[in-house]
Amino acid sequence: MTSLESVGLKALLESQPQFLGCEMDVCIYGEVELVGSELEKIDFFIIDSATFALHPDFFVPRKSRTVILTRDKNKPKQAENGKGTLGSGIRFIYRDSTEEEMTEILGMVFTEPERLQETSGELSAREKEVLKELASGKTNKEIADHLSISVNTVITHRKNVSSKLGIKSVSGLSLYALMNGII
Amino acid sequence: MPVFNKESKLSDVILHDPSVIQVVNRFDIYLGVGDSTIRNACESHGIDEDLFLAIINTYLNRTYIPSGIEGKVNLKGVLDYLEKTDRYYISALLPNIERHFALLLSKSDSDGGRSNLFLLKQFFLEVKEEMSASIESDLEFWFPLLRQGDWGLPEREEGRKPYDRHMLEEKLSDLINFFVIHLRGEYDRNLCVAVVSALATLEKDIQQNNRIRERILKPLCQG
Repeated sequence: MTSLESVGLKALLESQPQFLGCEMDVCIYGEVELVGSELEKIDFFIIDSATFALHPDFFVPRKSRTVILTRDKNKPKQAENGKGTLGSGIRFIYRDSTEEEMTEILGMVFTEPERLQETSGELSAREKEVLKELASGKTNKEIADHLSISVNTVITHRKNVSSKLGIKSVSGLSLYALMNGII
Repeated sequence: MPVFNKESKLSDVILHDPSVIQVVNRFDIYLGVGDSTIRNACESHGIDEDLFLAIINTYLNRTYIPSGIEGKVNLKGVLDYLEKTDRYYISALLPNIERHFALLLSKSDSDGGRSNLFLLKQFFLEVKEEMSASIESDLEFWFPLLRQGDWGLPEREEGRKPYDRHMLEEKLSDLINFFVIHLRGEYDRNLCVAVVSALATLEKDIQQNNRIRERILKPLCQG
């Protein structure tokens, strides 16, 4: 993926209110180096097909959170029906797609039930971080500043944590963190 | 969900949902009601029928909103009912849960079971403390103020309003969910059922009485 493509995709995500509402951490390959524990904090990956081919062990288990940017001349047959997906469940966007088409595909990835199901079990690394900060008595604003994310992202993570654990109050969440060695 | 009226049999109301027994008890009506209607029972116990019906129907029916209660339901009766409810929590429900918790801890003797349950007991004590403070605020501050006819509730800033108890609901719900979803280790199953049942009874009663505070007390105070 070229730098220009990376910048263009980022601008596309930032220009769409429905994506801003998702408050997800999106890694566009080329923008962030794919190393270390930082990877576990990423909610979505937009990569090129060469990157996918080089790291199938990493991306296949995360296929419902991955979108591959590919050249139009290699469009797979399944994608030609407009669904933008392969039989494997991995979604594609194409360099010659219109902005509307790209937005539609990305929107499907961000909201599809398969992804929600995949993330509905244990807390993600980022959710544990937010929980730890919350249990230490920090406000949403303080957590956002400390983790370098927006307040809306903190609120979204809190909602997801509460939904996964069945616990809403700060006292209850702190108790869970204590019971499970998060603090 | 049926809406009961003055001609409904009190036994039908209780059989429909036995949890309403504790509500009729707060009007000094006890089991063994025979075939008396709500009208008969209210007459013989000197209870205002409109007040009784508004409370019973709001308690039992999630979607019921009593209409035209201003001038029809007297505030003193509502406050008497809520005061008895508060005192029942303090004197019966909370000590009952605490007793069951103590027994559960004493019978759950493995380290794994005890450590998890001990933290849950601490959480319960936090809920109890918050609830006691809220009840004290009702009994010592808000209710006497309302009985004197002071309608300045919406403008007052000090203390939590008597119809704002949703944080308690949330914490009780969390506590029950801890048992249902996150309980670990060895524990006495029968006593655990007793604790969860007692917590669920309290949670349900608080939820239903919060409806009464929201749909009857609040309009009367703000009317």
